[in-house]
Amino acid sequence: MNQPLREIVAVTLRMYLRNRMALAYSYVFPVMFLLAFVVLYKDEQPLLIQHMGELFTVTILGGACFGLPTSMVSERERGVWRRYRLSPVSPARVIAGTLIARYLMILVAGALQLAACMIIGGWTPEHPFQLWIAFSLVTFALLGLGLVIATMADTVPAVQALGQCIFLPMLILGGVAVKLSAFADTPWVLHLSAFFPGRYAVEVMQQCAKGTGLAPAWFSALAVILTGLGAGVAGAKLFRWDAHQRFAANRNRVWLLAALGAWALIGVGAEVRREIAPPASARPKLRPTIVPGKTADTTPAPVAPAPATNLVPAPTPAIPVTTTSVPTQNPAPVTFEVKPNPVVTAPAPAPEPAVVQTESLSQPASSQPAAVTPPPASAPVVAPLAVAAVPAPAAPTPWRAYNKIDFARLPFASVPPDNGNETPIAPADEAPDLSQQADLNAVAANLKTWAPGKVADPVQRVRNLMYVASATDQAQAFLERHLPYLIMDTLRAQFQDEELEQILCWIANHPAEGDHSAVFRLDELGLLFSVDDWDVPEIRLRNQWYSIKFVWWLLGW
Amino acid sequence: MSAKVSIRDLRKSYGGVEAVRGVSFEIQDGEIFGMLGPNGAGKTSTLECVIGLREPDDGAIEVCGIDARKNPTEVKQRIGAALQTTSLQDKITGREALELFGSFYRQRVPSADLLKRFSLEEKADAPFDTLSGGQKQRLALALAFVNNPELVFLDEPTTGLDPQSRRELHGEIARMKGDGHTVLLTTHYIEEAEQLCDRIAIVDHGRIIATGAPKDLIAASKLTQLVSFETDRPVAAAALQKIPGASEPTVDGVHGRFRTRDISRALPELIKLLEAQPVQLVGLVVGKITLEDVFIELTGSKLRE
Ligand SMILES: Nc1ncnc2c1ncn2[C@@H]1O[C@H](COP(=O)(O)OP(=O)(O)OP(=O)(O)O)[C@@H](O)[C@H]1O
Ligand SMILES: [Mg+2]
Repeated sequence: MNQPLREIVAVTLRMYLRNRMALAYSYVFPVMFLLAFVVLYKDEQPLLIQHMGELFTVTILGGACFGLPTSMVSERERGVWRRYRLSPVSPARVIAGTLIARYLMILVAGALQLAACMIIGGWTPEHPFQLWIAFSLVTFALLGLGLVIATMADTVPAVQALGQCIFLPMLILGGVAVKLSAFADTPWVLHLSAFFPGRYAVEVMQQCAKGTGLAPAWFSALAVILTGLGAGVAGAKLFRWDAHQRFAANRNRVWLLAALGAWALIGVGAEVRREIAPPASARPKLRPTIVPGKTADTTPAPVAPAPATNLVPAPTPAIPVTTTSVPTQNPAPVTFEVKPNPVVTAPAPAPEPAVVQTESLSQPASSQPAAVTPPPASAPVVAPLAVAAVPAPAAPTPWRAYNKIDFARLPFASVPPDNGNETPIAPADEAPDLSQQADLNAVAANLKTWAPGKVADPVQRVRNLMYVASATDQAQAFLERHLPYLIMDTLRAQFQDEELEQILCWIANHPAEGDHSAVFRLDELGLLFSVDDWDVPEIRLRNQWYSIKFVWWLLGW
Repeated sequence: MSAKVSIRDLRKSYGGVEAVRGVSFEIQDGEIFGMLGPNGAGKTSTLECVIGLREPDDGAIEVCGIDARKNPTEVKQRIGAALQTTSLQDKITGREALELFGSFYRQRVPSADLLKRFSLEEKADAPFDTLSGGQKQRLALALAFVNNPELVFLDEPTTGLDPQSRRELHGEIARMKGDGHTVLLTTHYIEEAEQLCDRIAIVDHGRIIATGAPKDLIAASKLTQLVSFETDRPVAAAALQKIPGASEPTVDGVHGRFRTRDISRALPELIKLLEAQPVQLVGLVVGKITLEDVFIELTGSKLRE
């Protein structure tokens, strides 16, 4: 940093530290939000880790929409900036110095906030370095918007008004104050939110605090960078030294379009990519308030983010599965069909009719956002998903079309919690006791030679392995809470994570599909339980739930 | 001597208001040049166009041989200025301000020297918003000198100062000249202009109506001396009209006055006239005409509001 820049940064920081009001404002505000979040999410474990993106966004927005432009405009009004203009210092340097100083202030506020959250929640961010990068990107992008506000506002009260115009929509549409999933029934809000940088800011930081890190969130990161660039260009072009130069008389007003253009570009980009569903971090967590019911008249979880089960409207008469008519404004319940499995071989009894409890997972298609991705495999399920006896190596693999968007549409909210009776998973830090460990070791050894775990068709193979966990769960056997770890390990030893996510997503979306004869070969694994009469639909449902949980697990959400 | 500043046909309007209407002047190296004019005459507008704070509508500005409209940054390296209203951050101290602004220039004077020179040592670490008006003014001047400028612009540097501070500042400005700085200052105060400036431009309604050294301006005036007298009994004003060369005669009871260019002829005529009344002369003052008289003559208005 050269000397003038260093001096401007140092003086700006000193002025800030001496201004108690501004200081209090920029720290009290984030603390208030932090406390509110603690109260709001006190039941979540680990506390607050799922909300860092939101918390940071609020802190940064406060500094960017109000802190920066207020100090800039009041200095300009006082004539401080005219004094700068009298000297040979370039405007770029004055702006850069002001922005860097403000960045440092926000960074300190963010660091304090992070430290507080880590102490309260007892966790550490998963990608600390990337989190810093993401935080910095978001800060500079939103400071760019603050710069635009500062150039547009002629007076400090005007800053407050303009700041609110950006701050409030971002809070509401950015998924900060209101969860985006709350708008699942009003797709236009989701579409609108795609044009506001707030949600991308939340997403990119959240993925670094807890999630997949920066790289998979590249679109959000790009959106944030574009926002910053657009605003930066507009801010620099609209910049004025003098309070006498009014915004209305500024001949460079058209450059405002650069900032707005960036927003439009992002929104259009998101529409094209169909990234309209709530970003991952805004998705409901694995502690649903409503556990899916077993009966058809159960109300679906209201916060489900437009779940897209790939049930397709019936083209031909088949065995109809009438979904629950969801109490929404859509009067006409849509009929879906799930094709029954093709003939399946041997020791299995006749396949269960595919009357599966899909109702808790499906909603009328019309309640989904208009731009929802068409199901990747919109063709009716045709793949003859065979067991070992009927290898089908040439089977089409429509599941390969699944991507993160489809994963995100899985109805996470409708899955029972890990600590409940259905599809339980032991907490990661709870080790099995010695006898459990011995049994797990035995099962692990037997799995190596278990024929259903070796079938050629990957989907069926995964399904078979998942049955091990699901059936054990259904039998309420005492290993049930630990088996998922073994199954996950076994699966990951055979598949790439991404492939596995796709297959699991397919299973979750097609719970009635495929063969379940493996259920009847579980005794070969030495699992110490016996069930006379397997409730196959129930096992399939659990397979679906575990699949969703596994996807979530693999994605690190 | 070369011209440090050369302005040709400078024009500046704000919306409908024509603040500067074709101003031209030159300032020689080492000169103190004053712009004298009533409120709203266009002094600040002219000065701020020259130093690059405002964009002129038209005209040529050359400062230190550099085209200021083409290369304002280079000009800014060489000049210093104290504006009519200088405001800094509330909480900045004088020392910090000098360090900050000093860092913007190629050449700089140590802050400690400036604090000493402008008697700010005691207040060097006091926040700007705790300084008195005079101290703020001195800090503004110190800031104008951080780069040891060839040319200094001072916009009403003494307005609002008490007589003591004003006198000190006059001393300071005189010293600038001694140190080889060229100075352009604007002022409301005629005696200040008369006392400090080598040359003066009288500005009114956006135009320069007279330029020159103060004594030349006075000499060039069609008014010269003012004769005031007091008598024991009132005289008729009409009688004063008879004095050859007397203009603007006024009588207020026993006090009378008139102006004249030829005092040696007018005085005997006055005595003769009073004796003829007969009226006794009680007092008589013959005054030199001042710049203020010239100013009023030229602009038709009083300067001090
Ligand atoms: N930013 C501005 N916008 C509009 N009009 C302006 C602006 N600045 C100055 N003026 C007008 O231009 C004219 C000249 O103003 P200027 O400040 O140059 O006068 P001045 O000679 O410096 O006056 P003063 O002695 O009061 O400082 C005035 O009529 C003023 O109202
Ligand atoms: Mg002025």
